[in-house]
Amino acid sequence: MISSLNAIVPMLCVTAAGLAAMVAESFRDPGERMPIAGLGIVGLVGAAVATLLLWNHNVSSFGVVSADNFGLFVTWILIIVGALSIAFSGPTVERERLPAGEYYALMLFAIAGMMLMATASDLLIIFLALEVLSIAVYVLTGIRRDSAQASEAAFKYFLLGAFSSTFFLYGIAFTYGLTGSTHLDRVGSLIAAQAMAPTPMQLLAVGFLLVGFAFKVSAVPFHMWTPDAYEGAPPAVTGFMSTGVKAAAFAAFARVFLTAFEPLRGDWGVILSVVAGATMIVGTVVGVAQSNVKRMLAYSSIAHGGYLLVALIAANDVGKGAVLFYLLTYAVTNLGAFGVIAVLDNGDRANDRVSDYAGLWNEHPGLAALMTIFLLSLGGFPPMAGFIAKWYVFSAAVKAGDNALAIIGVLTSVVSVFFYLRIVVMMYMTSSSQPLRFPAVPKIASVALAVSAILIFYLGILPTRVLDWAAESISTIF
Amino acid sequence: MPAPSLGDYLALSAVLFAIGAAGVFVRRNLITILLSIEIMLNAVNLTFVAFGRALGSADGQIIVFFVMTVAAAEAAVGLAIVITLFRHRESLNPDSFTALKW
Amino acid sequence: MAQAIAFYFIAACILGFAVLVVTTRDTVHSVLFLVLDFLFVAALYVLLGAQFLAAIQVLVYAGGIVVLYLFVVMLVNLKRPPEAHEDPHRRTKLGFGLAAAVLLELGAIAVYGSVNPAAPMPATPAIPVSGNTEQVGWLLYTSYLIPFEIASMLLLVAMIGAIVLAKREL
Repeated sequence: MISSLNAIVPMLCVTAAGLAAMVAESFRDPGERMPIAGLGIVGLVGAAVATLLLWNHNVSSFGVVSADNFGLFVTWILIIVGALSIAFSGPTVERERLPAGEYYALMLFAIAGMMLMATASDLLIIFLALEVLSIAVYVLTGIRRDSAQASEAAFKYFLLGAFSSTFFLYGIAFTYGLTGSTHLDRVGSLIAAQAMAPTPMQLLAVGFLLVGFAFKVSAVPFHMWTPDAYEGAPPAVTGFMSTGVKAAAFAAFARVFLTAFEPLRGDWGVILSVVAGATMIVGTVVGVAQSNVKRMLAYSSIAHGGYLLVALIAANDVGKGAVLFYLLTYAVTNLGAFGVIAVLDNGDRANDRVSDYAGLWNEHPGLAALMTIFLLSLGGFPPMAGFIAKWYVFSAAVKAGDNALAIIGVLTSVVSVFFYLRIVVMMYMTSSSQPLRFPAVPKIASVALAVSAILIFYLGILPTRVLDWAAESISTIF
Repeated sequence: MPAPSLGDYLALSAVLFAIGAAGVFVRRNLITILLSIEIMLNAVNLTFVAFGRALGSADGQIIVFFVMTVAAAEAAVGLAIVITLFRHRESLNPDSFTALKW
Repeated sequence: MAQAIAFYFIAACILGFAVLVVTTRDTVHSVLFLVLDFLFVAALYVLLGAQFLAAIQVLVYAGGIVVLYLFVVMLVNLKRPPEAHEDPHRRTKLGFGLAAAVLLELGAIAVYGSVNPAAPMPATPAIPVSGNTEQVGWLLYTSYLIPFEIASMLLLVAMIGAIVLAKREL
C-alpha cells in the first residue's frame, strides 16, 4: 500500500513544507522575523531528491498519478520555479508586510498542485490539481489587500479562471460520456477504437477541453485576463504564475492531447495552429505598445505561449524535446526578468514603467546587466538559451510542414526584439533625473538572479545534454 | 409520453449551461456573475450524472461529488475577493473598476 | 409516463428559475431563486437514481454555498462601511443573549435527561445497506482515494485563501 504512494512523494514533500509554514506562522509573534521561506526551500529540496530517486522508475500511484520521466522533468522545472520564486519573494513580503506564513504556504500548495497536474494521468486529477493551483494563485494575486489594483486583478483572474474551469469540466463530462472513463489511457484506447470519422460528441469534448487549456496558458482569444492579472499581482507572484502555471498547464495539455486525443490530431491540430498563430501575433503586436514593463512582459509571455503551442503542434522527432526545453528556458528567463522587477519595486513606487529604467546602468550596473541577459534571452539572441529553444521549435515546425507557423514565429520574434531592446536602451543610454530611487538588493535575491543568468548561458551554450534529457523524457508518454 | 432519454438530459444541461454563460456575459453585477458560474457548474454536474446513469456506473456521481467540493472552494475564495474589492470600491459593478481595463 | 411528466415539470422549473437568477435585478432575490433552482436539480438527481448526490446537493449547495452568497450579499449591500455598525453595547447584548440561550438549552437537556433516563439510540442509522449511498461510499474510499485527498487539500487552500483575503487584521 505504501509503495503505491511513491509517485506522489514529491508533492507530499512540498505540501508538508506548506503545512510547516502554516504551523510556524501560528507560533510567530507579531513583528517577529522567522525564516519561513527556508521551510519552503527544505520542502523543495526534498521534492528534488524524491524526483531523482523516482527517475526512470516509471511508478504509478493508484493508476491516476504516474511519475514517468515526462512528469518528473516538468516537476524539475517546477522545483526551479518554486525555489527562484521564493528567493524573489523575500523583499516583497517584508516590504508590503504580507502574512509570510500564508504567503509561502499558498505558494507551496500551488507548487504541489502544479506537480500533480504535470504527473496526473486522469482527467479528474488534472481538474482537481488545476483548481488547487488556480485557487492558490488567485489568492496570491490579490494578497496585497490594501491595493485596489491587486483586488481587481485577483477578481478578474478569478472570474475568468472559474468560467474557463466550467468549460474544461464540460469537456471532461463529454469525454466521460464518450468513453465511460476519465483515465487517459482508457480514453485514448477507446477513442482510437471508435470510428475513423470523429463524432460530434468527440469534437465537443476536444473543443471544450481546448478552451479550458487555452484560458490557462493564456492563448488568444482567451488571453484577456493576463495583462491585468500580471500587472496587479506583486512582481514575485507574477513571475511565479507566468512560469509555474504555464509549465503545469502545458504539461497537462501535452499529456491529454498527445496521448488520449492523439487519434483526433487532424481535427485539433488545425484549430490549434490558428490559435498559435494568433497568439504569437497578438502577444507581440500589442506588447510593442505597452509602457509598463509588467504589462509588456505579460504580452511577451502570451507570445511565448504561442511558441510553445507551435512546439506542441509540431511534436515530431525534432519537436518532441523542444516543448520541455522551451518550458525550462522560458521559466528560468522569465522568472529572472520578474525577479529584477521585484527587486526594483521599493514599496512607494513600483518602478515598473519603462521610463523608470532610465539610468539603471549607472546605479545598479549588475542588475542592469542581468536584466539585459534576461531580455535578450526572451528575444532569442544567439548566446542565450532563448535562441536555442526558439531554434528547435521553429525547425520542428518546418520539419512538420507547418511553414506558415514557423514564418510567423520568426517574424514575431524579430518584432519582439524591439520592445525588449527598448528597455535595454533605456537602462544604458539615458540618465536618470532622480538618483537613488531604487532600493538595495537583498543577498538571496541577487544569488537567485545570478543562478538564473548562469543557467541561461549554460542552456544556451551547452544545450545538448538537457535537450537529450528532454527528448528522452517526453518519449515516455508518446 | 416516452420516458426521458439521455438526449433529453443532455439537452437540458446544455440549455442550462448556455443560460449560465449568457449570465456571465450579460450581467453587470459581480455576485450575479458568480451565481451564473454556479449555474454552469450545475449544468455540468447534471451531464455527469446523466452519463453515469446511461453507462450504468457510479463514477459520474463521484465526479460530481468532487465538482461540488471545487464549487465550494471557488465560492469561498471568490466571495472573499468580492469582499476585498468592495472595501476599495463600495460598488459591485465591474464598470466602476478603474485601475485595470475591463 | 409519470417519470416523463416529472422530468418535464422539473426541467421547466430548472430552466425557469435559472433565467430568473440571471435576469432579476435584486441580488438577494437572485440568490433565493438559485436555491430553488438547486432544489429542483436535486429532484432531478433523485429521478436519475442518485439519491446520495441529491442529499449532498441540498446540504452543500442549497444549504452551504448559497447561504455563503447570501451572507456576502447582505454584507456588501450595507449602505455604510461595516465599521460604522460596530456598536460594542449591541455586541455585548447579543453575546449575553447567546450565552443565556446556550445555558438554557444545556439546562433543559440536563433536566430532560434526568427525567427520562436510558432511551437507547437505534443501532444503525436509516441508510439503505446496499444502495446508492453505499456504492458511492465504496468507490470514494477505494478507487477515488487520491482525488479525495486532493479535494481535502483544495479545501485547505481555499480556507487559508479566504481567511487571508477577507480577514480585517492578520
